[in-house]
Amino acid sequence: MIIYFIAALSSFLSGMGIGGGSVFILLSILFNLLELNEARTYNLLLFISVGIIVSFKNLNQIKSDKKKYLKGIVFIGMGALLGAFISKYVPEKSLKVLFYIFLLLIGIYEIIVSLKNIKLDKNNNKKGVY
Amino acid sequence: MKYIFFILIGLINGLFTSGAGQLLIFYLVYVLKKDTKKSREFSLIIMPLISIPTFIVYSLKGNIDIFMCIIFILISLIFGFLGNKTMKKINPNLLNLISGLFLIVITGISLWRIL
Repeated sequence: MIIYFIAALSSFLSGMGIGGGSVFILLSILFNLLELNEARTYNLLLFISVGIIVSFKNLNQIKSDKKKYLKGIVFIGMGALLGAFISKYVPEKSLKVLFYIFLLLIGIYEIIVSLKNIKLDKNNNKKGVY
Repeated sequence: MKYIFFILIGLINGLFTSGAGQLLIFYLVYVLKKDTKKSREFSLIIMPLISIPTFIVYSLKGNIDIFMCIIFILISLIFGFLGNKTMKKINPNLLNLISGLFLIVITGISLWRIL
């Protein structure tokens, strides 16, 4: 039952675009509900389903920006294939540590900029800019 | 330059299978200064498509139970839809703040587990 709750939470966060995938993998492993490969597989399934529903919901936007989406798919897809291919030959652990540190820095940057913007919005509202 | 970065994001996705979407959003919102919600949706539409081949490879290894798959699909369709609807109602700065906090917590725990 817990696994379905985690799946719901992860899908909700994925739908918001704030990285629900990592929640599913992390929580299902922390609670010993799934093995890593199982968690990765189900996470991909959840992620793909969320992507499908969001795509349907935004079909008009996709149609109007067809070229942008196609280029995104082609270039990111090329990189993904390359990444999957070289993943066998690179030391995953040390690279992962570096990547996580990088993500932490991104998170800190996001928080600082968002807080700054929220403060700026409040000041503008007080001054009656809007 | 944008396309080189797209390839790099794909490369990270292929290597680690998670985290690349957040990197793509960061690049679109903070480097290219694109709209927050549109960027998150762009990532939400592109990244799952890129994940389909990876899912096929993983599922062929026999890691899945069909009954669980059906339930997971139903759950993700409902809650993914609700999450996307909620995102549209939230202030973009607040959304970025939640995302940043979330990224720190999840990445922090993952890092702690590795080390």
